[in-house]
Amino acid sequence: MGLKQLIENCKNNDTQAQSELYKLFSSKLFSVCLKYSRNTAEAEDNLQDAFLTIFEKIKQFKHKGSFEGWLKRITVNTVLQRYRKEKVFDIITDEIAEDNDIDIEDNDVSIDYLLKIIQELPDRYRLVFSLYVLDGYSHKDIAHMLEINIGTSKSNLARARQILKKTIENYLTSQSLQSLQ
Amino acid sequence: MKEKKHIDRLFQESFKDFEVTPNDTVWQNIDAKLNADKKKRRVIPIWWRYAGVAALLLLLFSLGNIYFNNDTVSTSNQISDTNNNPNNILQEETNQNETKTTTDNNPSNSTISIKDQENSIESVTNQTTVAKTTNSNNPVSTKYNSTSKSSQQDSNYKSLPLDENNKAKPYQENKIANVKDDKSSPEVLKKEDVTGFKKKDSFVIAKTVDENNIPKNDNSKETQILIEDVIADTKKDTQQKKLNKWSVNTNAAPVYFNSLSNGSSLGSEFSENSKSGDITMSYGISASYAINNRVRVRSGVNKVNLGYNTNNVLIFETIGLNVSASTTKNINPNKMPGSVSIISGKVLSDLNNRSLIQTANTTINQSLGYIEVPLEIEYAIIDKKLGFNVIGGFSSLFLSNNSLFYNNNGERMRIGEATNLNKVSYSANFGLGFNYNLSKSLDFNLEPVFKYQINAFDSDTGNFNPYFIGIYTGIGFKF
Repeated sequence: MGLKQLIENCKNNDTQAQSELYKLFSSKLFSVCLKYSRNTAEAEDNLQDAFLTIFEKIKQFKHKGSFEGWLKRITVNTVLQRYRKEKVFDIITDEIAEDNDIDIEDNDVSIDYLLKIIQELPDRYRLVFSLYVLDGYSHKDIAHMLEINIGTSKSNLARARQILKKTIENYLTSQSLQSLQ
Repeated sequence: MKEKKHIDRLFQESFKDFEVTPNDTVWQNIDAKLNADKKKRRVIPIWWRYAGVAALLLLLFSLGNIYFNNDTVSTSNQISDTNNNPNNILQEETNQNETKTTTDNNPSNSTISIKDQENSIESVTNQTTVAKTTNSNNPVSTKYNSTSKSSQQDSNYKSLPLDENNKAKPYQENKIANVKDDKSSPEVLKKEDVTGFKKKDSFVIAKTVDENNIPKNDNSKETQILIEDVIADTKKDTQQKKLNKWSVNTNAAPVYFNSLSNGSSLGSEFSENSKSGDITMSYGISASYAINNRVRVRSGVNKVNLGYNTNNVLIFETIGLNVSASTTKNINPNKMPGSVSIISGKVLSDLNNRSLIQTANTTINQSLGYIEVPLEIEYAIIDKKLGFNVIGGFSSLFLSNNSLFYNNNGERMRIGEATNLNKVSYSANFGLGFNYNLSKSLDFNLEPVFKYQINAFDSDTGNFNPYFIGIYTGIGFKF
């Protein structure tokens, strides 16, 4: 059964097809949720909401453009809806250092660790960082999606980078100290 | 080896092929919610909620039916009231009461009165004709008058207004007595005719007893079940949502009845006569359910009275004559001892025979009563404090009253009923609705509605396409 047929069956609320579609795309979409959520539990909640929205709106999909892209957009929107209302009081805006390079060795940090520190970012920083760095959205898109202005998006990104850099550096230092002991 | 790396690149490289399989419980939750949605959004709204609407309507219908069945008693009183002779009215009224109270003295009648109050209609109408016989000024029933003359000789009848015990004696018995005394009279009613009539009449009475008793029991059972259903439904509904989805409306309307074509409801031979519609009343109660902000489905029960006049007819009675060839095939004069013939005055004037009969000014008034059960959809075009809707739908009409009266210079008498009316008919409805929100839950409505009747008359009725227009006003209560 082709993807197109599968989509058509989902439009008819075919339970079998819905299960099939979930198996095909849940891993990809769960990774999206993980990057934008605070933790795994919330990511699971968001994935669930995203799929419910997908099955509800699949009738509107007219086979124009990539289906996977459409799924990702719905997923991102679902997660954004949940977090974008959270206010970030961005007090420190002018103290941001422009040095975004980091001294690091391959395999120094695991992906689990990187995911963990992304998730621990304040909501807005996390959203902007994931959108811009991991999913390639422009500041203009981000500003539109989060209902903020472009300047805010840029400064949020800079803050996110700073926090992440500092966190990783602290982590590496503590790691090397542990290995010395 | 340590190397300088832009933090963005570090994350991008790490997350390039990032995929994590979610926990199985996620799908289980999704699946459960999808199934719940299917049940909730598809089965409950369409099947379950509409069943609730239907149950409520059935309840209203059965309540209405009981109410209106009782109501017909008072209608029959009206019939006797139309008699112009004040003595007769008094006599009739006492007679009617006596029939109820002294039934024990009349074994032939007792079963009727005990079984159902409704049968008093039968006796009332019978007595109407008794009373009529004393009216010697009646220009029409000349032949009938002679019978009444002879009946005046009968002491039994004469004492009727005076002797209370005899008052209740059924009309038929008087009639037999009359015939016995009438042997010398030139216009003899043949005994077979009278007894035949008696048999027929009592058969009719027995039939109505059966018909009235059986469905009533059913109704009460049905009502009980329905009340339980509705209570259960409303409980569920109030738990589920707090929107003003339901509303109950009362309405009353002046109704104008007429035909789109030139034909007559009495028969094709009256097509040429001048005709006019009556303005009568319709009143009832309805319930509506909001499917969304714009669309409401509604139904209810209405009592509709319709009246229609055919002018310039001639009416005469033909006792003992075979009138099967007469023009009145659509009229069953079953409440009269003799046959009634009605012909169009036009026919006679065409024959230049006008001088034969003096009563050309007579009008036949057809009076129809229906129990109307509409099923209509309201679509709101303007949904503000002052709203505007279009209304479309259809009604089922159950015939509840079917009478023909003649009117002659203010005199009015029931002459029978039409035989060409269908017991159940339909109408296609179209209307406009204006409503004004008096408060959050109270609405004032004004709705001019056009209703085109379908299948109201037998197909052989000459080209009669009836409709009625009502200006319905009422108060609606939303909850």
